[in-house]
Amino acid sequence: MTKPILKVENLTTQFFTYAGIVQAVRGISFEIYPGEAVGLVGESGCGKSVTGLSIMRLIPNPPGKIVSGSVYLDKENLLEFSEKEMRSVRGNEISMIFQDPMTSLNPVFSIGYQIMETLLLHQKITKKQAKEKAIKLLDMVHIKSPEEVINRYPHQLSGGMRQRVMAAIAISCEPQIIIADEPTTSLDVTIQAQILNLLTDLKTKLNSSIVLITHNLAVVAGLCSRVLVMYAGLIMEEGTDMQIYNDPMHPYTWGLMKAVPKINEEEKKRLMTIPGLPPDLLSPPEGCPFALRCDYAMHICFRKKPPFFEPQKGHKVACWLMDPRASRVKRSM
Amino acid sequence: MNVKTTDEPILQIKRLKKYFPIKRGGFLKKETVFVKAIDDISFNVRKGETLGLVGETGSGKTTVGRTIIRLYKPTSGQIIFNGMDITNVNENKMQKVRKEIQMIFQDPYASLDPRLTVEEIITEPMEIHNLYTPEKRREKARELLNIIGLNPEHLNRFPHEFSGGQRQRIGLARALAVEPQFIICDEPVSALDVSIQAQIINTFEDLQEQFGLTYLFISHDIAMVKHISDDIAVMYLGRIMETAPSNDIYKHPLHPYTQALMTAVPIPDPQAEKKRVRIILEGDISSNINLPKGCRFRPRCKYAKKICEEIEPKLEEKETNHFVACHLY
Repeated sequence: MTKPILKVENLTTQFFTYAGIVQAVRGISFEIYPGEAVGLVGESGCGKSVTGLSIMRLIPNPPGKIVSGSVYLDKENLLEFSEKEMRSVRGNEISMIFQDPMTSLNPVFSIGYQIMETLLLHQKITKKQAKEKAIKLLDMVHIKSPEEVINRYPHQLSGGMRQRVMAAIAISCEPQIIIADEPTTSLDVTIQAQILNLLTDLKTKLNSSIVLITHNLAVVAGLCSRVLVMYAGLIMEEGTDMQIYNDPMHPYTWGLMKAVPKINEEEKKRLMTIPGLPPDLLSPPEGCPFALRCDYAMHICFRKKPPFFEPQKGHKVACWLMDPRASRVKRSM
Repeated sequence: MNVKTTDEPILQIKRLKKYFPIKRGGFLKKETVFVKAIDDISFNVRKGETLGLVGETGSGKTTVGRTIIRLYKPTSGQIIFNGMDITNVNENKMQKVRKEIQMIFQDPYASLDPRLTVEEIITEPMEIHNLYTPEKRREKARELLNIIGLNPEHLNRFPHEFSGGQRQRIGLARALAVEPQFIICDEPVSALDVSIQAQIINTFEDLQEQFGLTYLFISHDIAMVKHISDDIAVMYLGRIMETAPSNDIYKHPLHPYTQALMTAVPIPDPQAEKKRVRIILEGDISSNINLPKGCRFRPRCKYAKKICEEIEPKLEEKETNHFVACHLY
């Protein structure tokens, strides 16, 4: 098996607020392999964005802090890097696409300037070469007449175009990993389809790995070959796309799958709901965080956090139902 | 105009237009142009059913909802509710109409007054419409909280003490307080998480069954609209391009825009998703100030013919209950 390009181990990120310590990410571990697209899915507040920002070391401090864990890029632990060393990683080896392309582009600089900025910072090239490359990059993200667009400002572009510019900046130094944090959430479906096509396209062209952070299970299905399901700062289930979508094993994943209407469904089924609300991360429960909302919760679920069971190769499930001593539960999918 | 229905419609929209003037032309603002937010649309909503209104940002779907309830004054056309023309009735009469037509807004944070308790929020509409005695109103508020799935003990709390889903339930209770027949839901679940969305959608469906409500469900989430609606109308740049029963419009879309829209919606199933042929629309929605001549979808349409450049197609019934505005048919 190939070696992982990114290895996150026991990552714990907390926010120190007046109300107390918010345990946003509570010791998660996962690996990203070269050239693969991984979906990190979960509802708001589950810690998926904080995970992305922690890898990039972009957690605002204060109030946030990466308390423990390690993030290995090849053999080096990014969490031990100095701020200066980190700057040579960001944009160069790992880059990020953010949700809101309006606020993540600088309104007072032209599109061209913002793309060239990354290039000039990380590569030894002249301004002229950088400009040529910027035009090439815009062409790569399918922007028509890039020579013109390069002189425009963010407000002159539509949402979809801005997200393309963000993608152009992200791929400018051919990073090994692109972290896309809800890249299509603020876009219309037709534009979303364009951007997803673009990401698939870029993945094959550059052979970069993509970490797609989203709440939308449907968006993940088309792009990613592996999926991580997060809940209350923990990974609940991990597996290949087929394992997660066709044979999910965690009750939370069942709930998520049945809560969204599928457009290709013939007859109308009632949507399944997950009762209640996610736990407060100021004082997360001792046992499984989903136990309170779970139909199948057992005594142990409230007392002890479940370890990862691996019922199939590559399919990890943090649920006590997987324990051989637990009674078999029939799932109604 | 030409929308036939089997049952008596509760709401009829006839050739409705809403133009917003903008002053342009430098300092002197001499030139006035119009944003054609709604540009000649007609549709009917049958009693006890749900009509889904979908479209991209800027297609005018929210303006339709707001114009029906007269938050905007229509430029021309007719709005007929329960057989009564309410297009130009005065404010006094309109208030009576609003007892029957209520609205639920997208943002559950901004649409509740932060200084009022839940009880005040829910009883206010009853006060405005002079319904019941004060004691009866309070009783009714408790009852409503029960119906929408909140604890009646929450009556004395303030909106900030609730989560997004709970606030949307309060908004729903407020709308139900005056026992309306018709509710306009403008992106009611867009701001909520998936597991909470399902809870609210199920509540909508239960209430419809229980009280025989009629919904106009406005959303950009096509999968959700298909789930909840009996019929769907697809809007593009202020026009309705296609209307049909919701299963029909997904399985058998006629308009090239609807076809692209339906294939753009991702399916949470990797096998289906990877096999799918997606129609990718080039470019973005045009501006509704300078509309293209002829069909407004023409600049993005790959089937565009000569006639599409010249004549704007009319919404016509091409198959049973399936209306489309396109020269291809």
